[in-house]
Amino acid sequence: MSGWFGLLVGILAAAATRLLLRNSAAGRALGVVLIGLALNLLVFTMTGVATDRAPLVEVGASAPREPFSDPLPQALVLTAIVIGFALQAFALVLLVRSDPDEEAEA
Amino acid sequence: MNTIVIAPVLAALAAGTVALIGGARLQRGVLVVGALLHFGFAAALFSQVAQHGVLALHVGGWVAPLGIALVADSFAAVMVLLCGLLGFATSMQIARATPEDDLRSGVPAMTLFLLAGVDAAFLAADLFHLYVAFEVLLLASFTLLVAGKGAARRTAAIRSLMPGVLSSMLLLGGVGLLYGMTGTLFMPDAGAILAERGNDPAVRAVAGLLALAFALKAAVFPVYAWLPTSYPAAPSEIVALFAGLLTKVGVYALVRVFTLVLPNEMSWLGPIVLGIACLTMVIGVLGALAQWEMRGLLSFHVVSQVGYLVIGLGLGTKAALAATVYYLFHNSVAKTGLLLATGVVESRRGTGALKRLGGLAGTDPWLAGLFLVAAFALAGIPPLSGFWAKLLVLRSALDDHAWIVLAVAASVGALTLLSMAKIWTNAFWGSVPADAPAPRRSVLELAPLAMLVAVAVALGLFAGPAIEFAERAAAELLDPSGYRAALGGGRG
Repeated sequence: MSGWFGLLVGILAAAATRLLLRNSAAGRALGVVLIGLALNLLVFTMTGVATDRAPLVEVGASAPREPFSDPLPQALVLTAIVIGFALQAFALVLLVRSDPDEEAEA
Repeated sequence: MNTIVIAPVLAALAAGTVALIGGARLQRGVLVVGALLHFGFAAALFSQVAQHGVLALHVGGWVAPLGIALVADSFAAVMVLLCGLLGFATSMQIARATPEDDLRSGVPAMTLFLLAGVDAAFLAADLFHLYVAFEVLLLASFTLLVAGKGAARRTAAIRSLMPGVLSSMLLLGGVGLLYGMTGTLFMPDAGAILAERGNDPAVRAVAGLLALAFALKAAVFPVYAWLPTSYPAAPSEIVALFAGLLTKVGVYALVRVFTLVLPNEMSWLGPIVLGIACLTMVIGVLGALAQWEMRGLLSFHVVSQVGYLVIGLGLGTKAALAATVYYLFHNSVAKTGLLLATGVVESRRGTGALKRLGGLAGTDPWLAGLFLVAAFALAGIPPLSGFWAKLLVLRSALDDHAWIVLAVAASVGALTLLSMAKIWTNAFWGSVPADAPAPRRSVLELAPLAMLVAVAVALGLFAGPAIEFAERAAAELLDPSGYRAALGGGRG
């Protein structure tokens, strides 16, 4: 399954690159969103993707049952999503408010 | 518990939060008091580290490899001190010069949050923490850039937004891949694990990602264009803050990561870094010489000076890294001082355009004197700080037989002096323009500038102890055993 995720990261990153290079505010805004998604997915996939391996400690046990997924990438990606969301919101407001004519000059 | 390690960050965050809710007068007061408090804690941290060596704080008592740790070694401590000093100096000017409307956009709060983010980046011991700190300072800097009226500032913010976002994303990708390979985020642990892997193309890819991410932040040659096109749109006191701290965080992160995590990768990155350093120095200073606006000229200069800073990393010797540490501190102080002087010029004459200035040496002798000392410090006239900084850089290049670097660094130094002379002859000498406003003297306005100039002079006169400390910081960078021991509990 990780392979498919990898492919998806690649497609998203490629699309984001294409959008970021376009000279349009909407395109760049979408590019920012997409590259954020690509990188979040990359971090999420980093230690492998699996089902039925929730790192939960059962009652009476002191450690989760092996094998279990590494919970850290999930915590990281949650943080990255929140930060990315703030950044994207800021970028969107800025891009929407900016004057397109002036943009073209720049 | 070494609580002092986190104290500067907390002080800036707390003051920033208070500044968010207050009215205009309270905001100005909180900004200055908060920045002073932050400076005080930074100085306390520095003196602790100078006395006791590397300090580490495990937040919440979770010892590495769990939890989050902040580590202050000599390099980090001196950078936090720099952040405290520049934060305080610029805060005084920001509090005084920022118009009421901009205060409503939260300029004081964002200034303080920026300081907190910069400190957090300096103190980060794990890579994800570094990423978060970068995002904090990035958002704060964008907000400072757009605060206030004018489409020019929005355009400027958009220009720096794209490189900023891209750099964060590259950093996140690099951190993610590195975690996948090593299973740890702590820099020394990851470094130890990667050292065992040897020559691995995947490690090379991570090195490339991280190098590009930090290079975008530091504004070196191929990826510098965002800086001189966005900085001049902001008021000069904000540019002073940015010029002193933001690119320096990029340089700091480059040095930190490529000495602690990926030292082996410097074998192929080193020559590239040196080439980039030379191009950055030359292009920055040529761009500066072509400018006719004080803020624009000094913004290009920021780029040029970053070239000098990365030479140390490219050479990688102890002397070269010590030169980088000393140069970082000196350059930030001098550059911020010059931009604060620009702010005073603009407030007295209503413009920073060199062709519409003149005769400031006659109308404002104190301002002229302070500017001259700061400009000489930047250009490297003995006995000021810049002389020692350039001497250290040139000597380390000489020791390493890096002749091209030596030649470029020396000639760019001459061009730097020329560009300072351009400001001096056009703005300070000559006749006072007919439409110039009546001379106005306010000692308070010069206080932050005078403070920084005094530091630049002291750094030159007492260069011995300062260089000794820089050498200690460089030794710690090359041998991170002290860092590792302070962090403790690692897997490495």
